[in-house]
Amino acid sequence: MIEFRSVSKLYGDFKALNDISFSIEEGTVCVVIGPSGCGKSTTLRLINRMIEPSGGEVLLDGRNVRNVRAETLRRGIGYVIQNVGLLPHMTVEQNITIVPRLLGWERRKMQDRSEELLELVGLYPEQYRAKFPNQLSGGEAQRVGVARALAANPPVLLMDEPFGAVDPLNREALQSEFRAIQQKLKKTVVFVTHDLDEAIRIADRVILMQSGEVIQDDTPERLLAYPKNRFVRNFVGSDRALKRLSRFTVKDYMHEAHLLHMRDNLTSGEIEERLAIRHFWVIDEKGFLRGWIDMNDAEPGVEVREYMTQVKPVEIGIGIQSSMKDALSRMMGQGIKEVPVLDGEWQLVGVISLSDIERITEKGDFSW
Amino acid sequence: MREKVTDTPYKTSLLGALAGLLACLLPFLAVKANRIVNGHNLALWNLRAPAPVAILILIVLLSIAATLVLRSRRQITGALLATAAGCGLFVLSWLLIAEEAAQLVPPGIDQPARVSPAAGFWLFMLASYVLLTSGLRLLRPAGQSRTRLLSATISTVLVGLLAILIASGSLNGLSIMKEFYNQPERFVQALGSHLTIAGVSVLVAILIGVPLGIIAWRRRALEHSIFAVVNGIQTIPSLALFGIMIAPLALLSRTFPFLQALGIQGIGNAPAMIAITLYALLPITRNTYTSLSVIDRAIIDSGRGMGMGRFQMLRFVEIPLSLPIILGGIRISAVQAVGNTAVAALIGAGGLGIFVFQGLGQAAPDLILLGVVPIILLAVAVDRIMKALVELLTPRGIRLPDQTEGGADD
Repeated sequence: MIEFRSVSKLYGDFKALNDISFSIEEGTVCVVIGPSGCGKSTTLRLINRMIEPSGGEVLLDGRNVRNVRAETLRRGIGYVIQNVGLLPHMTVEQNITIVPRLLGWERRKMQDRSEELLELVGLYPEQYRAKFPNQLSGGEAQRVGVARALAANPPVLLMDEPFGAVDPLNREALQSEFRAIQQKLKKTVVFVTHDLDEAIRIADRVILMQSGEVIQDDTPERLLAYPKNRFVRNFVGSDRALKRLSRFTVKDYMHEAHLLHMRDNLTSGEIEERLAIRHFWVIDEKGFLRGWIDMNDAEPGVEVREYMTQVKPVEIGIGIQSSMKDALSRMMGQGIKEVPVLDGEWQLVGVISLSDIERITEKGDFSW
Repeated sequence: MREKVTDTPYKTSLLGALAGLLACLLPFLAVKANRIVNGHNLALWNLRAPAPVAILILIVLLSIAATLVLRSRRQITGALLATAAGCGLFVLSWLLIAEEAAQLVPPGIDQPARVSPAAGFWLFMLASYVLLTSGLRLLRPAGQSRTRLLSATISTVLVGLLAILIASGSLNGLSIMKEFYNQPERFVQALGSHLTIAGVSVLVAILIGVPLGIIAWRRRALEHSIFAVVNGIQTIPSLALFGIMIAPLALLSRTFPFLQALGIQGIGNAPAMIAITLYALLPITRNTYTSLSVIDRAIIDSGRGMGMGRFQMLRFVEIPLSLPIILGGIRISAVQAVGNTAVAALIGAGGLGIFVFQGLGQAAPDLILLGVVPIILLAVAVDRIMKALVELLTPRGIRLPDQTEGGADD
């Protein structure tokens, strides 16, 4: 549990933080968001004493952080920053085990831990353990950064725009992996970002700041549905209904696809039965998406592949970890009412249709 | 990267080949009755051993062939040819001069007659060096550590061969050896004091320069003044700096006799070491400052955020990341100090410079060589050793995939 009690921070005459108070429950992801210069990073850095407050106090589990030696405090708090800051002269494994080394762990235990963490963040230990940071891509480096922050199993994780320098595709992957990891580990996370979509996707709670003050402190749903004032309304934008869809993952809403195999050979009776459903996706023996057919065009006694419309899975399908917002925008972009969902191996595992999206919007406990 | 490299080697090798060609036309050696009289020059075709001369000329042709092969982009073959030509020029030039010296000069180290290497010989040495460099550099991409081993082996063999020639007395007819045998104790002593002066100066410069660089980095207010002073020193000509210090140091030692007991006087070792130390400061201070300023702020920030204290930051971050760059500065300073120490002989500090200035005073070029050649060899040796040290201490993760040679090799 993290608690801010009327905390202020002055830089000369400039009030970076003006008397802010809030508390963050254990095991929740709290995203601090706002335009640049609003004091969100300052807020984060007060927690591990990278910055000392000018007034008020920051409590961690009921204890004022100023009463703990800064180094000791920081070793008990995971810290991830945008530019990762991996040590270039150390291997991935050595980087991950920095805090354990500072804490004096045994070598064997550190190796096991780094292996475990690499697996957790989706990097093969045998492949990555001995690499140097300059051999990693941006996404890989940030995964190592997260693994490093988790090394000594700290209950609290501070993340300062951790995925900000990663390309959009990788960012989404990192976000969903982060959510998966968080569901397993249940850390108390303070996450700073300026990307509202990111906030909506991962937050249990959002603190929106402006000019050193907390403007709204709410769940993502309520922030989108009930913006407190004009600033918040502008910040979340007029497409906030769309943004809300970012919170929902395709995996939880997809349903079974109507399928045919490429080599299926339908009789006119079978075609008749299927006319009500009308559209079918076509896969090959290995389960890869190959095309679709409109039953009205079906010809009895001919293999499906002869009259199907071919598709490129990459262009038409979406990943199973994508958000419902991605699904909707794919529908709009491709002019279709149903998008195929593909797993990591590119196999068709289900579909999302417009009605699935309507299900979410209907469930909303607020007017649109 | 590769494309950029491909153009130059044949040009380098061409330079070597041209130097070799020119060397064939210049006098190869000079025969003199003693140190002072003008000798008479002998060109290659005046020499008595026609077979080695023919081979030498063949090798020069080989270097031209190497250039042409390199030009046609058959890199490895060309590189091997150039390396072979370089080795051949070196070995054969020395063997030839040894042979001629044995023929032209009566045996006995007290004989004043001597053979001096002339322009042609020195140009062959240059051609050999250029060819070796261009050849070995091209072989590098084939495997860094293997070529490093190859180049180390080649230089060891060549130096070893020279050492054998010297030890066997085959070169005793050479002017530089004559000068050495005239005063061997003095040479050893001068060599010792040269190493001491340069070594102590660099050591002191490290002790001052590294902290100075750290202060310049930590206290931004002082950065400007520190570099103004250190840079300023560099602009004073070395001779002037030696001169400037005579008066104040003489005054000091007269006022405080205990300083005199420590050897601090207007002339001699103390002012020399002070001046050389001052010169050595700039590269060390600047590189220390640079090495700290290039450390990514994100690394420092994440290090602090993980709970590193002052000491751990130094041990895990700052020292490993900055050490190679600081050592690079020390490398420059050390090579400079070896050269600067030569001038120190002017204010009575000793060192190999004494032969240079004595030789200049007596119009005896052979004596000058006795000073200059060892100084050059020392400088090259120091450079090589420091370079190896830098490579050894550069952590693998920050080593460039294909580390290019330092400036001193070009």
